[in-house]
Amino acid sequence: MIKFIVVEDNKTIQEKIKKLLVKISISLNQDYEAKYFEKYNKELQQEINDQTQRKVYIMDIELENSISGIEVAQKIRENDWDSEIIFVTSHDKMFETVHRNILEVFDFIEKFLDMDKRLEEDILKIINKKYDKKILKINGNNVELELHMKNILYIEKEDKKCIIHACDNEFKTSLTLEKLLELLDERFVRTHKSCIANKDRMVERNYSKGYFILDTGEKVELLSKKYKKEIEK
Amino acid sequence: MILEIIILTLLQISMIVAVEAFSDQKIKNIKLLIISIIIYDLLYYYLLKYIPAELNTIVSILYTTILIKILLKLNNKNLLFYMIIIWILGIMVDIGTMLAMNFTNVTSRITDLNKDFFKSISTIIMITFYFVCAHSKYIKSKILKLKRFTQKINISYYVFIALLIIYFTLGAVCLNEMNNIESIIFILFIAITCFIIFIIFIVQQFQIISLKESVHLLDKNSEFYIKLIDEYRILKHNLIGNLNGVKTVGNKKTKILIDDLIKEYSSILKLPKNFKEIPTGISGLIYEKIYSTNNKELKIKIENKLKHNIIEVLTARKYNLICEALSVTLDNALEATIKSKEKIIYLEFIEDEENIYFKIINTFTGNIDIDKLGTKNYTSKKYGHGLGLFSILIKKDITLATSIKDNKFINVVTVQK
Repeated sequence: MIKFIVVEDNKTIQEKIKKLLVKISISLNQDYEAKYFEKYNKELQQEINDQTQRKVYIMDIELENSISGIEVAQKIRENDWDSEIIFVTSHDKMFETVHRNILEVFDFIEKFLDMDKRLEEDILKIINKKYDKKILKINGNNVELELHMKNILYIEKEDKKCIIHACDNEFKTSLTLEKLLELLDERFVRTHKSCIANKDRMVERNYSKGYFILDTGEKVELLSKKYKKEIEK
Repeated sequence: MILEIIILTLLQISMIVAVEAFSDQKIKNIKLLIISIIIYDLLYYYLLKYIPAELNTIVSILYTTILIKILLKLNNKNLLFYMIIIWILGIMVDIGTMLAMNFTNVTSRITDLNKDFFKSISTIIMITFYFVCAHSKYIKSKILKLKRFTQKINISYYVFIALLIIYFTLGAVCLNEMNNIESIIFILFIAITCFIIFIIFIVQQFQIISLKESVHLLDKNSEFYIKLIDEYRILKHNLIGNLNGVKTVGNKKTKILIDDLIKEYSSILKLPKNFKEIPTGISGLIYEKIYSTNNKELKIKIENKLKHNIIEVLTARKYNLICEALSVTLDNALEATIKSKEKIIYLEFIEDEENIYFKIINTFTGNIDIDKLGTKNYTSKKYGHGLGLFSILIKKDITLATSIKDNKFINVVTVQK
């Protein structure tokens, strides 16, 4: 059962969201729980603190009291990076891009422009989305590294270090491939004596030529027949 | 005996409650508090029996101090400050009660039989006073002001004054014994120590003055930058207006050229709307860095949650340290973010009771060695020296916490108020 937290001071918009949630629930034949708030208060903070369940927050940016929706999102993100946040707003694009990235906001929806349609699409996307927030944590000498496992493409050994190839970046660590394999989940398999790869991100495997292709288009020539059984499991 | 223990227990609780209120901390472990008080009562019961009364007070003060430290997790500097405040408040109440008793002639009625009762009155008044202080917003704000003031005073100043007092006191005491060689050597020793401390004090004062000067200069620069931004905006606005005016009388080629120019001028460097709310000095620094980057795609968001002017809250030295740290982290953030797809920089300034935090989040694309980051000579830049982050990490008065979350680099610079 999915839980919705709606924070909206405009009664009409709140009513619209209420009707929409009922509609989605009927169409998907899925139960849901919803709580409605007009502003940030103690009860809302209790909901934020309660992390027993993954939630979907639908919030306005400008709220009744001095605490804005962005500040509420910051409070949510203090500990909870699993829940989804959707903003119903009329703010400019730059504002959107920054917060979408920093606070991992799912979407910014303009209040008076196809709000119903877009919100419905977003909620359906969230419900159908494969929930995957598993993280790889490594401590360096002066830095803490946290990577979503879904964003890790493959890890290769180079000299005495391992290079973690993520979607946009590469990270060098002195941890061994064996240690990294222990820290990762079952989607990561050994493809070569000096490589671990994310099975979910592979689109093609060629054992005879010894390469695999990732969904990013990158061709990695580190595939050994020795590990075929384990990979194809 | 039992009455005395009850009153002292209440006194201890009231002191803890007062420190809790002054320091804005919450006692989370109530069980530990209750157990500690029971241990204290038992300890006091045996102390009364076997140890002299003077030692009782010292043990009680030490026990309460340690208990407050454990329960409220205060650092030593703050703990010392609050204990001195509690002690001064207690003495004030004690003296006040004594004076009131003298004026009302109550002291003449004190006999051996009712001595304990009269002794307890001043303690009961003290307990009440501590509870009142804990709930008074006025007293709390005054203590907070005093705390900020004392944090700004240099420690060598206190040492110098203390030694000077010792010197004159000893001088007065030993005046009659100046013929004694030992006394003369002792006074000479104190005089030389005072002189050395005085020289150190003067040197430090000069350093403080020069630091204040540089902060003042930064402040002026910041004002200049804000003026510059305003003038730049007006100029841009007028220039676009004039170009539009010329466009109406120009030929086709001129119109195309002017359209290009208008497009160019309309898209240069977008600064956040709340740029003027950023603390003075810091805003100049940020502007300088962003301006020299001059990247049109850069998206900057600034959240200023500071309640006070940092120039007033921080000492000149700490302010300069913050500027150094921000300069290095901003340089790194800007260089890294420009190479990334999103090009986002998010700055957040936060303040709590003890510290000021400067949080810099930026997107990045590149290679990072997580074991070497922040170590001497390691750089991820093309022409870097690898000394920036290292130089901040070795500083004593500021801390830098670095973390990476997927494609976001998060730096938090913390400085104690």
